[in-house]
Amino acid sequence: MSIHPLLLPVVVPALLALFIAVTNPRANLREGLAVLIGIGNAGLWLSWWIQGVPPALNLIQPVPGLTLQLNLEPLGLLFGTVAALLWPVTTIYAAGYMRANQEKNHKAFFAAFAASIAGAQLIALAGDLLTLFVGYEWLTLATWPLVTHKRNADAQRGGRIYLGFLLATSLGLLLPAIVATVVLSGRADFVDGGLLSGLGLSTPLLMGLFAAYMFGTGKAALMPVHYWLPAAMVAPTPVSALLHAVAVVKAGVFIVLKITIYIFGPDLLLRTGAANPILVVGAASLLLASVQAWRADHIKQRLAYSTVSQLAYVSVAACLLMPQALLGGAIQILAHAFGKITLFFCAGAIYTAAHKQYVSELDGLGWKMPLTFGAFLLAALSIIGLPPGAGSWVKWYIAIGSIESGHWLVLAVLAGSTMLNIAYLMPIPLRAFLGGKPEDRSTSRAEAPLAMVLPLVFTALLTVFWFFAVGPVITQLSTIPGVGHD
Amino acid sequence: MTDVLLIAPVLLPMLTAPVVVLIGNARIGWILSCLAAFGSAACAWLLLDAVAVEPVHYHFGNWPPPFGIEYVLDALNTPLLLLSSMAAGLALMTATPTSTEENFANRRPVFYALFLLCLAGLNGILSTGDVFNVFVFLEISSLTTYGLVAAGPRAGSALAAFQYLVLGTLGGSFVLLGIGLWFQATGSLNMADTRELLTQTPYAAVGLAGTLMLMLGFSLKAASFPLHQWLPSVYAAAPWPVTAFLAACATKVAIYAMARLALEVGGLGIQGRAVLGFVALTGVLWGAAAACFQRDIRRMLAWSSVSQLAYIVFAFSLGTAAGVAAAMVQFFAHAAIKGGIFLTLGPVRSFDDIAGLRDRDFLRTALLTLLTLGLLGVPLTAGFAAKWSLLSAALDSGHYIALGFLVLGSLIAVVYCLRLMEPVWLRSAPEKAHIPPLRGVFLVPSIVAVIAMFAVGTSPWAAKWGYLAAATLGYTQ
Repeated sequence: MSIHPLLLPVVVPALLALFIAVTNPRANLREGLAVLIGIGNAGLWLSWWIQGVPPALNLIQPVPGLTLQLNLEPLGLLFGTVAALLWPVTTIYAAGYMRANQEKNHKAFFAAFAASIAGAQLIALAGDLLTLFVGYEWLTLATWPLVTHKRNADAQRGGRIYLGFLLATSLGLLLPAIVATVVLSGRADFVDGGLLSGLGLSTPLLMGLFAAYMFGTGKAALMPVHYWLPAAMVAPTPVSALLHAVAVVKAGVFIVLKITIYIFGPDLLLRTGAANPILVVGAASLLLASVQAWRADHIKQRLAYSTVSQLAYVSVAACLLMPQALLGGAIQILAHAFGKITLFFCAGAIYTAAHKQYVSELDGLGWKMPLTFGAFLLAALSIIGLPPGAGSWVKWYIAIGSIESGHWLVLAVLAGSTMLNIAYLMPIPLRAFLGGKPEDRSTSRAEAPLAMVLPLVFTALLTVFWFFAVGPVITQLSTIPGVGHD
Repeated sequence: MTDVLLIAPVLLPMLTAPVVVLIGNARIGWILSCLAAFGSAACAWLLLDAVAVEPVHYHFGNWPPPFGIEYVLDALNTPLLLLSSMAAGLALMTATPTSTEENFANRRPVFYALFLLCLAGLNGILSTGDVFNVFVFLEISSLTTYGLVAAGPRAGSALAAFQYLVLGTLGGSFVLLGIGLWFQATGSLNMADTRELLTQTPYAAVGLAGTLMLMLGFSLKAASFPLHQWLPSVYAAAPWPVTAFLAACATKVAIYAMARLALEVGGLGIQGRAVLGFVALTGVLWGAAAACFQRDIRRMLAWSSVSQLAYIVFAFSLGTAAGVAAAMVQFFAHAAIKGGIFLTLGPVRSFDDIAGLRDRDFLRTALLTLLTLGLLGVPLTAGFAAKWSLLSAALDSGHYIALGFLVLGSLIAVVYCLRLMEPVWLRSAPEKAHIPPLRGVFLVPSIVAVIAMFAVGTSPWAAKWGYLAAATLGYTQ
């Protein structure tokens, strides 16, 4: 009996979660196994870049006429690979963090972690809207135990906001939008050029449906449904790093792109202008969240608002509908993931080694933790969009897209946000290295444990690596009709 | 052979009941009762293939209808027979001879006999093709239910049973009045015959009055909003196997009777359906909202049932094949989920009882969590299949405002599901827990409920039966 390769990224992490939850293995076995499986999983995803993706797979038929299916296309391949690459890295980091900070209940933590990854990879693999929705809800629910990990009043409140926002938007808007799509078109799969494009639907209907999809995907954190994201920061830092900077939010913007490209189709949205209202919301969200980030003193809060802003880049790119803009939005999934996870890793390392949580407390700390703050600097450059950070390509392609589509105001917003990015990210390494009185700068090293420092150095170097190695990603993404250079 | 199968779901529990009392041994009675209930379920299961092709008839004493009493099993009531018998069997399994949940431990065989008679009554309502027979079985099931509720361990159980008795008798009277008016208008008691005659009778107004009376009476028995007042106190007061059984199928059988008699036989018109649908939608929101404010778990779940049952009524009120299919899916979904939750909770009554459950009783936590996910309507569970069918049925017939109500109802459900999950997962366990862990025979029904929930959620089985049922009711896709 052979198992279809597309099932592996979902089934194996899910089984790992079950194994951890039921048998409660020893800590070293548990985390070692998770890292090994994570590396194998990442290798599987990378092999699909070289050998091509496996054929589609039909699963079950939960309602008459609708079949759940797995079908990998370039966008899903990119998102799935990003999640797969960062999972083992974060597991190592989490092992260091949980032990160093004496967090409790590691069993539930690592089980829920693996289950969340299974959900995220199911979203990447989804071949139709229903499977996508299955993965979406799975991811929401599997991350709830992680958000509420501390089990105190704060965690409970954060968990309520988290579930409340994500379930309310998905059940209240996303699900009705999916049902409407199926009732209108009779099917639910992703189609090149757009499932809804040939049906002659009216513009107001398209506008409403598009808005329902965009706000319904609460994980994409378009304002005002972004509120859950800062609230979810009560979770331990590894969770904030992998889930609330990478897997969960990237699932959100991945869905935004996927819906735009395969359900509506750029041509249809461009012709009818149905995406324009969301373009305005996205641009506003982009700018306002940057301002919020700039005002926040708490490091994780600042990074959370920065994430909201960076996610809005993708929503804006999707609404610009130009091939270059869509390409830029897709690259953001890769670039922002590596950049932001490094920043969160650093925040956790600072908390673990120095017990500092606020930007204003960081003066002179850089000399004690040079690796951490050096990594922070590299990742910050990528988020801002300066070479040699992978984020430069994102800004570049979205800017071209906004010029091509004649949305000059969007270009101005991008420029303004870049200024703000510098204003809220750079003070952290600057204060660390240059702040305080020179005589207070102790040169004695006090980095976080090795299990935490190695991952953050690794991901920081990868942000630079992707700047040079973005070529295959662009080639792969350009095979999607309506996405690419020209 | 088919004849035996056809009457067995009614006769098997009905005849086992006196045997259980006569033997008088609690353990033997328990085993016999479970066997009778599962035997009925097996008979219904064996009939499924036959009724998928065409309805199967049985004429008592070989008197041909419309003069004699006939049983008609078709694609609508046979799956429900399976449902009610399975639910009864699983609930009976947890009413073990040594349980302390009933307050007349020395007369336990009587409890089993009442349970079986209640099942016989419900199965009778489902099977019969005779209008007056419906009333007879309704009374059998009601009277036994009063006894079962009064067997609850609380001092308030008898009071709750009495309140239910008053309202239930009122409902029964309306049903009787309705049947009388129909008889006046048509001179017939056979359902198929009455249906024909009602369309031709010169006394159409009398017929309509009868239809409305029947609807009212069954709405009361079905705890259909706004006639739901008895439900929360009954669920809170009854022994938990009874609560689980009532939640899983008793109210649903009343909804079936309402759909069968008022909608099919009575042929309720478009305005009547619209009113019914609107009232049901209000009930969806009212029940869900009230559930969020309850301090007792059982009451909260009961209010949730008011909301969930209203979904079924709404689905029937659409009057389309997709609507009937959605109703069928929700029948199974809610029976598995809510029945399963009550069986998994067992003796739990207050939120303190489940505080920190994850640290004490992992199996119960896992089962309860899965079932709550179903209640929430998470994909792959039956709850999602039901929600999906309902939303697409509403959209299909252009009820956009209804869509808003349904969606809002499912959002409020998030709140009460979270109220159930937060103590389990986030609060810490009390010093001494007086709820024993879920083990042994008590585990089986919960596991079956979870499996059923996922089976209905991942296969189009229930929806398929829904469409077949719609065809027998005369709706085309």
